[in-house]
Amino acid sequence: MSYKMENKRYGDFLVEIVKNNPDIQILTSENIGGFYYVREQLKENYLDVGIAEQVMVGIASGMALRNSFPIIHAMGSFLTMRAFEFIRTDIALPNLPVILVGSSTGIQSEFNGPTHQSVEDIGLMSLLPNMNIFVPSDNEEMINGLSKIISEKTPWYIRYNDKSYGNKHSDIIVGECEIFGNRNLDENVDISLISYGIIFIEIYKLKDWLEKSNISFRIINVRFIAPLDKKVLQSVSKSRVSLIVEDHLETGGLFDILSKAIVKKNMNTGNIVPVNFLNYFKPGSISDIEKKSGLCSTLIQEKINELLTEEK
Amino acid sequence: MDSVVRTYKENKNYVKRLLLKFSKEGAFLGSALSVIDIIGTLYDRYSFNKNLDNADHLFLSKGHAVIALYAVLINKEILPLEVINEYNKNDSLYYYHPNPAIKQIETFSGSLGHLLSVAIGSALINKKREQSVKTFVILGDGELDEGSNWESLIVANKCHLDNLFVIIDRNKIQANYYTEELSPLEPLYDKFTAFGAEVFVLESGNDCSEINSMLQEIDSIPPNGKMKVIIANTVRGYGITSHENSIEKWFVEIDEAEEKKLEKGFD
Repeated sequence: MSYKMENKRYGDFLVEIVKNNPDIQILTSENIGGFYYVREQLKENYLDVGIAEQVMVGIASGMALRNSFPIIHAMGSFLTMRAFEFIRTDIALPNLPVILVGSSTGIQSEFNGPTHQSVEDIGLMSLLPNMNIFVPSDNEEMINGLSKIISEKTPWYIRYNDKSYGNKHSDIIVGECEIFGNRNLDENVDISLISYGIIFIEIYKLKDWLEKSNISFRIINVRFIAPLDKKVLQSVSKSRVSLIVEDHLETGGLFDILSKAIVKKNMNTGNIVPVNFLNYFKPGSISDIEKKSGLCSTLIQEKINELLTEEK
Repeated sequence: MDSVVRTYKENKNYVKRLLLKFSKEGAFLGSALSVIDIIGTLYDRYSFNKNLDNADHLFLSKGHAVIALYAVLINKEILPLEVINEYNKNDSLYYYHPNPAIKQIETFSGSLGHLLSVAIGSALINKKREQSVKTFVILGDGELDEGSNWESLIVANKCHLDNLFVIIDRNKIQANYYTEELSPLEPLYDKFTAFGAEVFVLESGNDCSEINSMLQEIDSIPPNGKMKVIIANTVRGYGITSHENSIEKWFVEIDEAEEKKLEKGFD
């Protein structure tokens, strides 16, 4: 089953998969987000539990024990923190096929303030046994990826992303990253730019500039944080500078996960530089938060110039 | 060992003596004796099988009483008697709390307030598939302190889960306190009724005949869209006078001599 339809809305996708597989159950905990318009069409395969994230996780666990495949939705902060122990004990430990979709993650919480900021979610989910993590860079990638991971029959956490930029992506292979650049993976480069989710577009925007500037580079759309594609590490090991850009707290984020892997493998690497959050960010628009946090393409470009100059 | 017969009711003294054997390695004996007549009667009456969607399903949310389930399953010859020797040994599957690697144990429990929601998920799927099977979940009364139970009841009510049977092991004691002295739970009947349940009260949840009669009565109720809650008045440590209703005798570790002495209560 492959859903290579550009601009397909998430709700339409849910209706389609439920039609194809009546064992898929769609759950929400009141804040239904972007697919409110398909509630009626999902019919018997849809349950809104109300504002009760932990109960939604428990119910999904019971459904999975009866050989169903629940896809459950809540704001990332409440799903991964309020319901954390239920996710750990009732989904991850028994390795049940439940897909957890966290919305408004990272900078997407915009003006909601720190209560709604989901900037620990990847750290928390990566702590759990059997838990896989998918961080799509746009709507198309999310839908294509979800259509594949649903047949994996293991627990997954997804950072919901309904943004569309018209990017052309390579086909999704579960557990593999997507790489753009002007050098092969076995060649040394000046810089590896590594990111995921909504922030990926900010490093992707620098592709033309890097090409024109005769900088050898790889731009990596990580896609999957768990399992993490070893090509990400390989690229870091072949780069003078690697920039890890993410809308997540440094602790528990991709920088943290990569650093641990590098130490464990005793790898020789160039300079590895994180761009992320060290604390909760000041609420604002996405562009404002990106600017203040160094997560926008303009500031990343400045950082690259600075780093490559230092390195020379 | 006595010869093993299949029904719990006929063989309950033997099954309770098994609990004493587990307790030599440390066990929540008080909780197990409180709930074992309920578990045993359920197993006498229904065919639980976690691997079959068209079988009845049982969730033990008060996971610390798991030796009661082990003992009942040994009596049913679903688990071997050797479980007693493996219990609480290094690398064993059998420890203080349930492990789904064991036959008939649906999932992990022991962190309280989880399995009512899990049982709801199970009952929901059975209902969607129009399977005429029942989902039972056993909760401790102390466990009702956990707000997740009350959140779950709201959802069970909304979903009209008349195939869900919630049994409250109402021994009025939680780990270290009498429930009504810590944070009063009463009036439980009214609370469950207000949450949309059809509520039944067992005068003695340690009387197999009474438990069975009530289950028979409930089984004869035609589908009415209401979840069933059974408040089973039980006694912690039931059957051992020195342990009954005792705050101290929740978790015990006994020696051979103590076992011999306590066994006499289950001759």
